[in-house]
Amino acid sequence: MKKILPRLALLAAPFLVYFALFFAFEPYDYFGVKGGASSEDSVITRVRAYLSAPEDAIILGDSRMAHFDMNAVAEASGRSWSNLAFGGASLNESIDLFYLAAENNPSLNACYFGVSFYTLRAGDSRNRMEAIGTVVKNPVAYMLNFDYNADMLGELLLRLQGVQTGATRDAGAWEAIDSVDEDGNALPVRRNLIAYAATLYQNCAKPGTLPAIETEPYIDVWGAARERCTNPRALLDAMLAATPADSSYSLNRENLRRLEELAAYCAENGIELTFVLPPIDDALRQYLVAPLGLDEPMRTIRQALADTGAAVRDFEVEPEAVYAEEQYYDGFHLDVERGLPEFTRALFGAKEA
Amino acid sequence: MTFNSVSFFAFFPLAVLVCRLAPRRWQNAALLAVSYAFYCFNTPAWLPVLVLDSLATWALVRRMDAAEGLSRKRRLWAALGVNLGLLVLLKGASLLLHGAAVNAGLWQALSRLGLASEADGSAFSIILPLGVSFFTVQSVGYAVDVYRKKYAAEPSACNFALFVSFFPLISSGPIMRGDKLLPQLRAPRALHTDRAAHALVTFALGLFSKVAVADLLAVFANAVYGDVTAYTGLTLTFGALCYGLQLYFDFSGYSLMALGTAELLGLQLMTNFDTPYFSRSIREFWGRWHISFSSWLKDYVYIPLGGNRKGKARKYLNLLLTFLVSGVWHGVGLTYLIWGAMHGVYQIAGDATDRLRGRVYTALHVSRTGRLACAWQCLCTFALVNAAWVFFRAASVHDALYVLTAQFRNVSLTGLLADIRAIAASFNAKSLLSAAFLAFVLLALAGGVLLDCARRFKAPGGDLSARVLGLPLVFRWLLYYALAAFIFAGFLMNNGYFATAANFLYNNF
Repeated sequence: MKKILPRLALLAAPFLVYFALFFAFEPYDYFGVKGGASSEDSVITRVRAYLSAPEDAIILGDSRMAHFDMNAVAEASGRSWSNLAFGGASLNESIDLFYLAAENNPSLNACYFGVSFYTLRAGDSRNRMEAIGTVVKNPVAYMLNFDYNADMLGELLLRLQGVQTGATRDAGAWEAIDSVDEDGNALPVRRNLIAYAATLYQNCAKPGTLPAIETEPYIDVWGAARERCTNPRALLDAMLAATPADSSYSLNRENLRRLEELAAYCAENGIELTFVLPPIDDALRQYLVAPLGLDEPMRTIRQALADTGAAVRDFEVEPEAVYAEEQYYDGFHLDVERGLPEFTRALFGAKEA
Repeated sequence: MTFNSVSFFAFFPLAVLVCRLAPRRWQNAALLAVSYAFYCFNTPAWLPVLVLDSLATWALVRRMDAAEGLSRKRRLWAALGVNLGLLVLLKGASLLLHGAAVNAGLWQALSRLGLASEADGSAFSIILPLGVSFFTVQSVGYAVDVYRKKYAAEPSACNFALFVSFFPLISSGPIMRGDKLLPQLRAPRALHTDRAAHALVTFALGLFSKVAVADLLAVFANAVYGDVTAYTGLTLTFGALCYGLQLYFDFSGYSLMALGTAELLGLQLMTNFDTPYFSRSIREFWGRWHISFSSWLKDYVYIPLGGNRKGKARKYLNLLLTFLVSGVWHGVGLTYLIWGAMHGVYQIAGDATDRLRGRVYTALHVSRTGRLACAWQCLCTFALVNAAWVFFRAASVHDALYVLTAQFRNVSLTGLLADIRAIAASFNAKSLLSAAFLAFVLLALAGGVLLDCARRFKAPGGDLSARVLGLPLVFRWLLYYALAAFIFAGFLMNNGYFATAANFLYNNF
C-alpha cells in the first residue's frame, strides 16, 4: 500500500493544479478570500454572501433588480439590503430564493420582489434552485459543477486575452452606427432597443413572426465583448406588422398562485412585501406590447398583485415614473449611470418618504 | 450511495481502513458492519428485512443440510419460499401500488419510514430494498447447491450474512455462488501492492465506462425514449443504439467497479461481462452478458425444467420459459415479458436454423468462421439484441412498436444531425459547450469501444487490467492520465453527481 499512495498522488497532481487554477480564477469568490467577485451579481456570489451575513431586507428578481448600487440603495432607504436578484432568474427561482432567505434569517422583515409580464409568462417553468441550493452549501459540489468550471475557464481565457471580465455594466457608450439601420438610414430608436424587443418576441410570439436576429461581435469602450444587431430595419418592419393574432403569450397562473402564497406567508410572518414592476422602455411598448396586445395581461397581473394585499410599486403598467430612451441601456435595463441611480432613488427613497 | 457518487469516495477508503485494521478473527464482522452501513446509506428502512432474510435462509439451509429425504426437501422449499416469496411479494406490491390511490396517510407513513417515495407529482411508489432481486436469487442458488450436496451449509451466520450482503455485489451483482465466495470468506485475507494496483485499474476502467460513456449516452437515449413520438427515422435508430450502448457500459462499468472494490478488500468476484457485443450468436451473447445471472438461470431454471434432455420440442419450451423468467426478474411488466420472449425465440430460431445457415455458407463458399462471416454474425447479433432492448427501455409496448416501425419512416441524415444538435443543446444552451459535449461523448465512446476491443483481442482471459499493468511505463501512465481526465470531465458533465445522481440501471431491477 505504501507504494500505491505515491502513485495515486502522482496521478492526482494535474488535478490539484487544475483545482488551484479553479480557486484562483473562479469568478464568484465562492470561498470569500479574493475580496470580491468579478461576477458580483451572480446567484452564487449573492446567496453565499447572504448566508454568511444576511441583512433583514432583501431584493429579489431578475437582472432588472440585480444591478442596483447597494450603497445608493442603503443611502436612499436608510438601511442595508441583501440583493439576491440575479440575471436570468426565473420567477420560480426567485420565489424559492425568498423561502431560502426566510429560512436562513428569522428576522427578515422586508422584501422587494421584482415581477413583470415577462417573468410571469406561461411556459417558463425553469427552476435551478435545487442545484443552486446544493452548490451554495457544498464547496465540493461547486468545484465539480460543469457550469462553474466552464465559467472559470471562460474567465481564465478572457483574462489571458486581456478582455474585461465580470458582470456587464449595462452602461452604454453609443456610436453613430447604433442610430442607423443596415442601409445607413436613421432609425426611430437605437439599434439595440429594436434588437431587444425582437429578442422578447421569441418567448411572446408565435415562431416565424420575425426574421432571425443577425448580429456581429464588437468590443465596447469598457473592453467587454458584445454583439450588435445587423438587421434592425427588417426586424422593425416585421414588429410593426405583427398583430395580436401573432401573440403566444399567456399568463402563468401557477406562478401567480405561488406569489399569492408568498404574500400570505409574508403577512403571517411580519415581512413587509413589495412587488416591484420595473420600468420598460417605450420601444418595448411600441414594438412588442402594442402589436401583440400585451396591455391586457399586464393589467391583469398588476391587479392580481395588488389583490394579494402586498404593496405594488408599478413602473411598468401605469408607471409612477418614466425614463427617457437615453436612460435605458436596453428595453428592460436602465443604464447604470444615466438611469439606474434615478430609479434607485425613486424606488427606495420614495418608500421612506 | 452508488460507486460513482462522491460520498462513495469518502466511504470506501474508510471501509478499507476498517477492514484492514480489524483483527483477523473480526475481519468478516467488520466487513459485514461496513456492508450494512453501505445498505443504510441506500435503503436503511429495509435493513431488518435483509438481516432477517439472511438469518432465516442460513438457519433453514443449515437444518436442511442435516436432514435427509422428505424433511430435506421441505426445508429446501421453505428456504426457496422465504426468498422467492420476498421477491415476488415486494415486486408485486411495488407494481400494484405504483401511483395507486391508497390512503394518503398510509403513503405518508410509509414515506416517513423510507419505504415509499413521491414519484410523479402526488403519486407515490414503493422503494424496494436495495438489491432485492440479487440477494434473493443468490440465496436461492446457495440453498439449491447445498440441497444438491455440491457443498456443505455455511456454519457461520456472520459469514453467510456477509455472503448475502457484501456491499460490492449487493446492488447489482455479480450473483455469486456459495462455493466461490464462502471459502474466500473463511480464508485469511491480505492485500498486496500488485493486487491493489490491479484492483484500482479495474475500478478506474469501470468508472470510466459509467461516468464518461454510459451517463453521457443517457442524455441522448433519455431524450429519444422520453418522447418517442416526437421523432422518426434515423433518430429513433440512434436513440435505440445509444440505449444499447448505455446499458452495456453502465452495467459492465458497475461490474468492473464491483470487482475492483472487492479485490481491494481481498476478495475475488466472478467476471460478469466478457465483451458481449462481439458475440456471433444470441447463445454466445448470453454466455458473455451478465454471466452470473445467465449461468444462474441455466443451473436453477433451465436444467431443472429438463434442459435439452427431453427432446427438441421440450428443449425449446424450456428455453422460452427460462427467458420469460429472465424477463419477469428484470421487471414485472409486459415490455419485459416481450423482451424475454424475444430472446427465447431468438435462441430457438438460432438453434432450429443452424444447419440451414451452415448450408447457405457452404453454397456461398464462405467459411463460417472466416473474418467476414464473423463480422456479419456479430452485426446481426448486435442488431437483434438492440431490437429487443427497445422493449426493455420503452415506457410501453406501444412506444416500443413505434420505435421499431417509425425508424424506417422519414429517413434523413440531416434530420438526424439536427436532432442530435438539438439534444446536445438541451445539455447546455451555449453552442460552444454543447459542441464540446458532443465531441467529448464521441471521444469517450470511441475510447470505450477501443478498450473493449483491447479486452476482446489483446487481453488474455479478458483481464484488461492485467494487460494495462503490463504496458511499458510511459504508455501505462499516459493511459492512467487519459482515464483520469475522462472520468473527471465526465464527472463535471454530470455535475459531480450532486444535482442529478445517476444511478446504475441494474439497481432498478
